[in-house]
Parts: sequence; structure tokens; C-alpha cells
Amino acid sequence: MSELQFKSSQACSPWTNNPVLVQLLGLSPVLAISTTLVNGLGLGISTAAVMLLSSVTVSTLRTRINQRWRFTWYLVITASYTTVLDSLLQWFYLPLYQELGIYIPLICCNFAVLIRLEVHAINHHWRSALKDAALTGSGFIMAIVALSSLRELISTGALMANWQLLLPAYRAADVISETSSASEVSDFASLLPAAFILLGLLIAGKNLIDNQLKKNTAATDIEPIQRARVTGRL
Amino acid sequence: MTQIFSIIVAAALVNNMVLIQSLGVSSLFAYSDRLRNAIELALVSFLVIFLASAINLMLYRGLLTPLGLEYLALLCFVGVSSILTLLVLHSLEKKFPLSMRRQRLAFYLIAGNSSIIGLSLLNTASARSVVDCLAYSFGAAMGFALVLLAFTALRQRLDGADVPAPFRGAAIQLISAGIAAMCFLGFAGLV
Repeated sequence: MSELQFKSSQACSPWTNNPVLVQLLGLSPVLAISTTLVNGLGLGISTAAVMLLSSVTVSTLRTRINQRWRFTWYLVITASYTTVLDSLLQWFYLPLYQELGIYIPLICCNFAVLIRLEVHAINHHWRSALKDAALTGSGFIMAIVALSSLRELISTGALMANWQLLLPAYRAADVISETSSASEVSDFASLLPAAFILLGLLIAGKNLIDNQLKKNTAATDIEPIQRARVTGRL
Repeated sequence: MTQIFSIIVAAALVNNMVLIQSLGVSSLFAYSDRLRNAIELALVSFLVIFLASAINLMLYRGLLTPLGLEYLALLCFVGVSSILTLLVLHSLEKKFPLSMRRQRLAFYLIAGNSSIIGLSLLNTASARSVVDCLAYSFGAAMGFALVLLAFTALRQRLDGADVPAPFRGAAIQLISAGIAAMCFLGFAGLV
């Protein structure tokens, strides 16, 4: 069993098995779009919506999906939902759609969505699949919000610039103000290399908190060793 | 001829898929961290990315645009890439059953590699001629395989390095990917 299969087969939770910070899945939209918090929120919510809908669809159709061609099925299902979402965003949120660009159609091949379909939705009831997708989606939104607010704070010193983009039927694209950066150092945070480095620092911070928590719990109570009684031949 | 060569170099290095345009980054981390497995994955990905984007380009220019069905482009691209991946994998499974069994999930995930779909979408938006688009796809696929191999070798080195405890694993890998991306920014102006 490879490392990828091991990590993704664990139970999903927004903190201990976050799809972005722990499993490192779906990184490309996270890194490219997280320049401002508004963009990050828009992409996170869209991805979570596609994840919920396609999980429920796959688990309802699981008896009909051919085992051999299942990846084609997953991709076709996610691509259908993404096409619908793409048209809806173009209709109601045109300025936001233009900001997100190519990464809206690319939701359909986000590894975080595909792996949850393969690992969980294909062999569980739709309620369980819905819960799993909700946990994964909230983990994805948490990670992208953390990274994008960090990057926006460093590069402009403020948060939620152009928040009007999140309102429906907001069509006045000319209201978007040009963000002015203070210096060369802070401008670096809006580039792609800085996204990699800041995400690495975020993960290191999360590991630090986890280590502290583990140390505290280990000091207070020691778990009793579990023994398994085995009868018969192995 | 020189123009095609310069397009290939530009696609592979200056506009590198992974480190400049941020397409298919998660495949760097999702795949195995052994160089031997990575060579197999890089070869298959190169083949699938180039072939799928070439077929998608023909389909879009020859079938979807004349019929006015541009909104179906995404579904069409996804279908082509996943069917092509499965066909390549089935022929691989007959020849090399062992390497197939070792990393089945990673091989299947090539179908959902966002660089295939991203490259096809970039090709539909560009106004280049068909030959230039094919050269661009070839270069981009080469750049992807190159970065995949280089990064896996780097991860193998990082495994043995003495890194502070919170940075072990994913964090140091992302930071070194950031430094590599900074280096690739230096290729701007090469062509």
C-alpha cells in the first residue's frame, strides 16, 4: 500500500486529516488562487459544492458504475457539475468568475474530490458519503481561507478587499480598485513561489501545535495497552 | 523549425506547467517518492498529456467550434483524457503487471491530472496555429515530466536530511518547491 493510499484511507476530519494541509491534495488551485481572501472563499465554496453533489451522485449510482471504468464515471460526473457551476457563476457572479479564470473548470479534476469519491463514496450509503464530503469540503475551505488571508495580509496589509465580488448580480467590474503594494518585500507574497513557501510554513505551524498537544496529553494520562485475544489458528 | 524549437523550450521551461502556471501541483506530492516509480509515472504522464491534449485540440477545432458546442468542451476533454489513460494502462498491465500493481491508484489518477485539462483549456483559448499548439503541448508535457523527476529526486534527498521536527515531511517539501519555483522564474526572457 502506497503512502497516498494510506493517508487517504484514514477517516476524514478538517484538522487531523485536512485534505490540503495533511494529504497535500488539490494544491494547484489553492496555490494559484489564494492571492486575496475573496478569491479564496469563492473557489473554496465552489469546490465544496461540487464535492457534495458529486459524492451523493456517485454513492447513489454505485451499483451501476462499472468497476473497470469507474474513473471515467467520476470524471464525467464532476465535469457535469462543474459545467453547470461554470455557467451559473458566469451568469450571476461575472467579475468573480473573471478573477478565478481557468481554475473554475479545473475543479472537476481536483484530486481532493476524486480521491474522496474513490475511497469513500463508491462503497458507502449516500448519507455517509454526504457527511464525508461535508467534512472534506470544510477542511478544504479552512485551508484556502487560512492561506489566502495570510497572503493578502502580507501583500496589502488589509483583508477582504473587493468584498462586493461575493454579492450576486454585482456587475460593475470597474469598481474593483487596484491594490497598491507598499514595498518589494511585501509584493513577493502575491507571487507563486511565496505561495509554496507560506503553505509550507502553515503546515509547519500546524505540526508544531499538534506536537504540543500530543506532549500535553501524554503527560497527563497514559492510555492502557489494548490486548487482543485471539483464538483458533491464525 | 527554429520557431517550433523555441515554442517547445518556452513551454517546457519559461511557462512551466507546474512551477510557473501551478497546474497539476498535487501530482508532485501525491505520487510515490521513489525515483524508480517516478520514472514510470513520468513516462506515462508524458505520453497521456501529449496525446490527450493533441486529441482534445483536434476535437475542439474540428468538431465543437463548427457545431457551436463550446460549452461541452470540459465534458469532452475529461472523457478523452480518462479513456486514453485507461487504454494506455490496460496495455501497460499486460506488459508490466508488477509496476502496475505497485502503484495502481497513482496510475489511475493520471486521468484526473489537472495539467491535461488545463493544457487543453489553454490551447482552446490561444490563437496559435495547430502545429504551434502541438509543439506547445509537447513542450509542456516534457516540462511536467522533467519537474516530476527532479522533484522526486529532491524528495529522496530530503528524506535523509536533518530537518527540525515541525518541518519534517510536507512542510520542507513545499518550501523547497517554492525555491525551485523561484529558480524557474529566472528562465523568463530565455526565449
